[in-house]
Amino acid sequence: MTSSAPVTPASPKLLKVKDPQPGVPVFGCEHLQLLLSSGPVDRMRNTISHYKNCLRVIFDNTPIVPQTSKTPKNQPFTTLTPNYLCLQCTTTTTAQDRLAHGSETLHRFYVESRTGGLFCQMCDDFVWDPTLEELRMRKFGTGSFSARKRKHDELFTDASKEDPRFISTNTTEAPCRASGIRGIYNMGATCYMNVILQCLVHNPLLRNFYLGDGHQSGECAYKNCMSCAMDDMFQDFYAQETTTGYSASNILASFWLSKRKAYEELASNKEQDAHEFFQFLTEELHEINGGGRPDDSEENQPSKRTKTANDTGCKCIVHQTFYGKLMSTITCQNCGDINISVESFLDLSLGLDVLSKKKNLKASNLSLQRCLDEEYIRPERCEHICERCSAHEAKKQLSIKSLPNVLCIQLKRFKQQNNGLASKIDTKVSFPLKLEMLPYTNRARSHDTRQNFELARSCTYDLQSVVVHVGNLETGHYVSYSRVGNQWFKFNDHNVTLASKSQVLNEQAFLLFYVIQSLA
Amino acid sequence: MSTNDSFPKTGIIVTGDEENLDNMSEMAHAVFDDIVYNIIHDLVLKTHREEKIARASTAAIIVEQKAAQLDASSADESSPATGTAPSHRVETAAAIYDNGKVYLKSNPLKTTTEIRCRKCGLPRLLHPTDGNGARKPEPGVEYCKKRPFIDKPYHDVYGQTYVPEGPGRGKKKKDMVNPLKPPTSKEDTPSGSQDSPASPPPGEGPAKPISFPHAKCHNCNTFLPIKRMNNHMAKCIGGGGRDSSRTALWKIQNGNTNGSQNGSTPSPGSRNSTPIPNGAKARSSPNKRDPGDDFDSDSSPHKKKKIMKKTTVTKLKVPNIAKSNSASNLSFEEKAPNSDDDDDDDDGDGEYGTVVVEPKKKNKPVVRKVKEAEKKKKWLHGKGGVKAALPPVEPPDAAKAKKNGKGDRDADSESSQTLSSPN
Repeated sequence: MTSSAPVTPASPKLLKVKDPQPGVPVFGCEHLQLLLSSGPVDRMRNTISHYKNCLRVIFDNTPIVPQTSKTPKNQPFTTLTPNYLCLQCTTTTTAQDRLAHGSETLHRFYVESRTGGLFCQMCDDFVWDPTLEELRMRKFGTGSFSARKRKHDELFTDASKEDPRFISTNTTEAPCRASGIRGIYNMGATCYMNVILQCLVHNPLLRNFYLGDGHQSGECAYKNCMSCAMDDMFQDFYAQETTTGYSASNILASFWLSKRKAYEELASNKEQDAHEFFQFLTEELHEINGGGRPDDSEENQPSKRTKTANDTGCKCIVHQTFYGKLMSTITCQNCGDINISVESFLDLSLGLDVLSKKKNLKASNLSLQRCLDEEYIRPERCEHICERCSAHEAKKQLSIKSLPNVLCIQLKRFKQQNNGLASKIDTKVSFPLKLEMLPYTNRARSHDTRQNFELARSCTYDLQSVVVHVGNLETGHYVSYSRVGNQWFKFNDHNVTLASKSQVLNEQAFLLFYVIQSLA
Repeated sequence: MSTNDSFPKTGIIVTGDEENLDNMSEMAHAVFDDIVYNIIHDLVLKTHREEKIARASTAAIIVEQKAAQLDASSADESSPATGTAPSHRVETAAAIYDNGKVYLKSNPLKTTTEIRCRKCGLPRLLHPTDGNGARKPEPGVEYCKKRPFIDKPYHDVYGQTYVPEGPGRGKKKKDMVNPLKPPTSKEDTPSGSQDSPASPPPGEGPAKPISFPHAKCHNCNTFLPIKRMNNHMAKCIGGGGRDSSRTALWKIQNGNTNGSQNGSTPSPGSRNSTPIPNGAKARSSPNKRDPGDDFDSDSSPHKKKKIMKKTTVTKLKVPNIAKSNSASNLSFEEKAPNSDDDDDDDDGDGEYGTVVVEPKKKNKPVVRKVKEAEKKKKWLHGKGGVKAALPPVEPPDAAKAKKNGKGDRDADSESSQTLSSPN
């Protein structure tokens, strides 16, 4: 991407005020309206392109640049508190000097140096202009201005379907009451299912897929299709005004009827592992939506239902959403021969039993980042017989080759003890609301990460859902937390309550769902 | 204004006594001060953004609504000249509507006090109606249905309560043993009113706890309580699980008793199995009941009719059997009127048939005295004649006749069966 390029208005077409939309004023304030609409078109274009430059300065470089202003004596002056970048010239001022600059030059608009927000000195307030705000959000989210779409978007965008008339005739507006926040009834030890379903319901990608008719249950030929059941559930959550719990009986039925070899044990009336159910569900949905399943849905074909060995080419919603690629580099300690293998992953599993034993990690304050550090930054010694020199000593380095849109992290809390009995690890692992994944990718190795803010921004994840296991190994209960907008909710089967961030962050997480920032 | 070398003091954190401060701690203090300032700045900015955008769009919505109203009224006044409608200009305190575009007039945070929903245009309720931070909504105002979520103990975000754990909910250990929950759940309605004594009573009143619903099993289409769904599916679909063999065994063992109780599913089995071995004993009751059960389960008159038709057309044994029960040897004479019916049909053909009746009647007792095998033959003969005669006559009568004829024949076959059964 072009980072901090000089003033070259990329294409004049792009630089215009957004078309008026119902219910949204055209400009952020009357003063901005004067600046953008009256006068020559060039002024509007220059203003917008200069705003983009300001955003580049703010987001693409080290924060020192926008945080540094010049004193009247021409000395650089760096502060931690917000500075203001003039929208109409190249000056950067401190909050105190802003007024002086305004009265001196009659420049009235400033860009705040930490978030890129636009400040109007005549309103004496921040102004959220639809046009400029969209640029800011895009820059902040994806690290670039262009409406560059991530690969998942291509799946859904169809030029003919973007036409507003097409949309209005073929869609129904969801009622205001329907917010997607509902509990799911426990059907008898099915809380492991409920938590996963809640996490998926609040997953923006899956939601868009199902609400956008990604799977049309009317045209589905499969018997007891899990995807149809999911479709029903999404419809019920987002299009119904009901506020009581949801009966996921058809999902349970599809689950029971699916009869997958690997998950046969899972379908029972006993308590089960939520992570296993997640694996089952994603595999099932992948096969249905990705066409991995033979067309005639005959029940007795477990042999045909083998997992496609190389899932890389799959364009199904599950792969678009959850799958990333992991690269392991094995370097022989003797001859330096490098062996690279790449495999796709559905989730990152962090074995807490191994991690908590390591000397350098104190169990008292274990954080998710430190676990990831251990797993994906530190090389480990491994048993590997080198093909060339047949030495046994080798160094294994794991790193993430491509990051998924939704990152699922499992904290393995169940360990096998020496006597063969399993036990639960109750170590608290702190996890952040925002997760930077760049250090764990292989790109971090090749580049100098310090300067690459744009890349880092595109590798930032927001916490979306947390699954918590309460109780011991034999019997326990699953509870999940999910974020809708900025509000966290606690989903305990049918019971939904508000949750605070601190409540969420203090939980003993079992599964974590992070959504890439540009989507959240 | 120019603060040359001195950093501006944000002054969020107040230092204690300044005398003890050396350079390092002064700087640490300043850095900490700035960082706290930034955190607060960002939080406030975020909220500010949400609120201001919502208010701005509210201002736009209001002015658009006004414009639409004017449109409508102007269209009424000058109905022929409706084409000029969009060019007008509407102004409120907060915004200007001009030809489809909306411009803000001043800071919407000052000019607009409410927030309207973008979808429905109705004002949003800004405070929850119950629980923490509740306020009583203005009476007589229609609000958008998207409401603030309720934060209240033992209630969910919509202010609903479910049947709490404790005695009376179920048989689980939790419900019996747990001593903590029942008192709290009892408390929860009064405590709610204590928290905010003014608001909840005049509002919607204490919400009734929601009981657990029933749901349909997709395999067998029966409705059952949601809590038992998984266990039910283990039995209904099951098969693959660990307990499959046990449940299968259980099913086999309990299958019969279950069958007679439920009636619907196992009845075909009983229908198939009973007639031959049970013979006269069970025949009377179960066979009669079978069609009845069908009626019960379907409980629709149409089906009843269908089955009746079937009996007549496809010559099911069912009604005949009913007759055959009475058609034991004792009540044999009843058959005579039946045969009369046959003869009546014959009457349609010719008058002389009436003359024939009596000899027939006389014949029967005679026949009865004769060997049953002979009887059979004669009946068959008679039937043959009836059948041949009937087709040209009206179909219902024919059907009846057939039925009767059938009945007669079945009576014979029954009797033959009873004869053969010892074999």
